[in-house]
Amino acid sequence: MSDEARRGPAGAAQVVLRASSEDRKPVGSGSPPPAATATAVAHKIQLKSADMKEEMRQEAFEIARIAFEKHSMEKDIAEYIKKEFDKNHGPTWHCIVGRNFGSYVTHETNYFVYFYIDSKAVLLFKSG
Amino acid sequence: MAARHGSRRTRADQWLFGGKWRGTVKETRHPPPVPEAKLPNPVPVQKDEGVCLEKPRVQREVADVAPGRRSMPEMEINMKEVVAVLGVKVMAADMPPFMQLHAFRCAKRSHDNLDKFSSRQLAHDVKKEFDKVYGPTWHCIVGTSYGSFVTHSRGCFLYFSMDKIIVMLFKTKIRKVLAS
Repeated sequence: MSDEARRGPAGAAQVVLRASSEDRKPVGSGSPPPAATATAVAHKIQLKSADMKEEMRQEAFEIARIAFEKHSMEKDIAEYIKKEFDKNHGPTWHCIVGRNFGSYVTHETNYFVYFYIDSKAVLLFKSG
Repeated sequence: MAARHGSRRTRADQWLFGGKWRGTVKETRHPPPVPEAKLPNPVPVQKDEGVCLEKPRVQREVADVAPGRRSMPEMEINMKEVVAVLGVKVMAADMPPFMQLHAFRCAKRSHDNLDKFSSRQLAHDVKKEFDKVYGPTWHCIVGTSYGSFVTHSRGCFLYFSMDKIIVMLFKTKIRKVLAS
């Protein structure tokens, strides 16, 4: 953490960056239970790690739900989420969606969230 | 005669162990402390100079490496060889060849060093290496199944596969912000 902070030039106003890392292992064998066709699909969200205020976090969850409704490809879901946040909270956001990935990123303070929506992980953070 | 003999001895004794001799000894003791006192002074100065010299060298090396290697046609041949040897496949790139090679070697080294593979550890090693060599801020994602959408700095994006692992490496710019 402090290692990142030290890199900024002395005296200059600087983004306070922190390093965060998330790792997600492959889901266990066996197909996920099929969604009930009778009832409306409600994506289950499970927060794993966050450096983000509650309000913005909830917004991320809602936008992710919409993204999963609109798109099926992971990259399209990531694109939708990232663009919504770029629009609502200013550039520059980055989004990763998938079942199996590890990461090591540096993000701006208060702009990082990592959660599961159903069986897929979503990493959303601001940097740059 | 007895008187003369005695007086001679007395003179010799005075010369050897008298006040003058002791005085001489005291005087000779002054010079040694002087150089000792001076020696410590240069030490910190030298250290400071060393520190100052190191930083510029690092900066120059970084600056010199990029343009020099870019213009070398051999890099393409080297690139193909390394890609073949490491079993790497470039899927998308906006990055100079020498930096790509650096990423491949770094990822390969980290992957081989891990007793038990950890995508997070591999991501950590690559990101830290690039932050150190090319300056912040880099990000690295490693996995077998994921999609992404990111914005990166020009000339700083690489997306490649190594075995079944897919590595994405990109850089973002640091912007100055007003304190909230």
